Amino acid sequence: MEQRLANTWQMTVNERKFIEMALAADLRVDDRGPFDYRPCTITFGRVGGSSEVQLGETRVMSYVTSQLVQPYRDRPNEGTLSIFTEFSPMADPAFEAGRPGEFAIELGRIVDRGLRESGAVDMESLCVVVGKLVWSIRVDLHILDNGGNLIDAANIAALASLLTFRRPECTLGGDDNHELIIHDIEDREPLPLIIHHLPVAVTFAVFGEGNIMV
Amino acid sequence: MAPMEVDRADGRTSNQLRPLSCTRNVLHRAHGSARWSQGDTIVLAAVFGPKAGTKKEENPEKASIEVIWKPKTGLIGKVEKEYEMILKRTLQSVCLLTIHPNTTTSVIVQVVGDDGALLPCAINASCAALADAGIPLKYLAVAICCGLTGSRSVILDPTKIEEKKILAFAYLVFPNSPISVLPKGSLTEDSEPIEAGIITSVTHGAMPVVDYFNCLDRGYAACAKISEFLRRSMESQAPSDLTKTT
Repeated sequence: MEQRLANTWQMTVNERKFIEMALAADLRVDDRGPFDYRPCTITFGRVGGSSEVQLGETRVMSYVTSQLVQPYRDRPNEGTLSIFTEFSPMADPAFEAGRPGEFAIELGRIVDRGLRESGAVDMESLCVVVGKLVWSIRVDLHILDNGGNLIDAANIAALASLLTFRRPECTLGGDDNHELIIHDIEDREPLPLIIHHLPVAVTFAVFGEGNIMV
Repeated sequence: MAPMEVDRADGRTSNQLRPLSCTRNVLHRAHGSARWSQGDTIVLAAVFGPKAGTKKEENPEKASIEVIWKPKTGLIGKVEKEYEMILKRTLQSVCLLTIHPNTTTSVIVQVVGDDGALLPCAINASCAALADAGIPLKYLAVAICCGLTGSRSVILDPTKIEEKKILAFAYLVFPNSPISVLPKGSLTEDSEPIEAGIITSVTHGAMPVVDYFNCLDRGYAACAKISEFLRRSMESQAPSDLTKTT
């Protein structure tokens, strides 16, 4: 355990003082203004539902999959949305593989609440058979490079992949209209998710005794 | 037996590989990183190391390598553990372990896209990342996947759809040595080759011995092409590495 801690980077007093003094003069470490963003690039995979966001040095990859499951008892006509955050050790030597740490869970919850409580993704359109079969959307966020401001980058990645995700179309058919047929991509065009609006996350950092904000 | 030309779904011949692409130094925090793609199979590998200390089971007189495999989606299961083990043993025979004893080098592999031949792509990416990090290596390893179709002909670099239809396939890893050929060295898994030889061989499905040797021949020839590509991509990025300070 001590070996892991020895490998993390500790900030020196000089660096701390420099950052504070520069901020007092409205200058940030990488020559940005206090409210400037780093250049953001979003690339999409060939298949719908995958995206990679690069915000300065931070890199986050997001991947969306869907599955047919039974709905929750108290919401029989709504689909489910779940966010899984993977803090890969490649992002930062301080991240441990395996169980997600506190920050990873917090990041997952922030992105999850932003999408769920604002009602961004339409849940009722994911229902196939009330009470029996609904679509469950799973978003996997992989943090590839930790260059700061993971929450914003992860949020953009999740939104980008949800917007490009296509789920297969399924209809009820068969003899007694109870058989579920999931159509192949070649037979019928897959459908996009219905997204009402896009919740965007913006992170502020407060320095000093609440005097300076970037 | 004369090899028959097989009709492949994407129009390739049986000896043709998918377009290869390799980018190094992709990540900022990792000491070395590489992104290797073969068609739609894309793997991102990152290397951290060497870090102090080894785990309890490892030999402290040598450097140890730790591999973490991250699938695209889902929990880590037995398949991922198997890939980790194969990758670890392959990289152990590629790296010079005696230079930094009692250290751990971590290799993290992230699957970005999976369209067949995933493990060879990961091995290629890991070697490029190790070279990017400056870890001392004996030679580079070049990996390829050979499949055996129902009509007893060998196809190289199958896609996921092709992998489901073929009888058996083998992942083969050869060293990237300029001194070529002569009779092949021993064929057992993880053997130490001297000039030419095979580092790792993983087979799935049953294939007759004659066809296995056929796969080895084809794979070896194709690996020469991949090593040429690897060497060119490293040489083209080398001048910028000299100016990069660690």
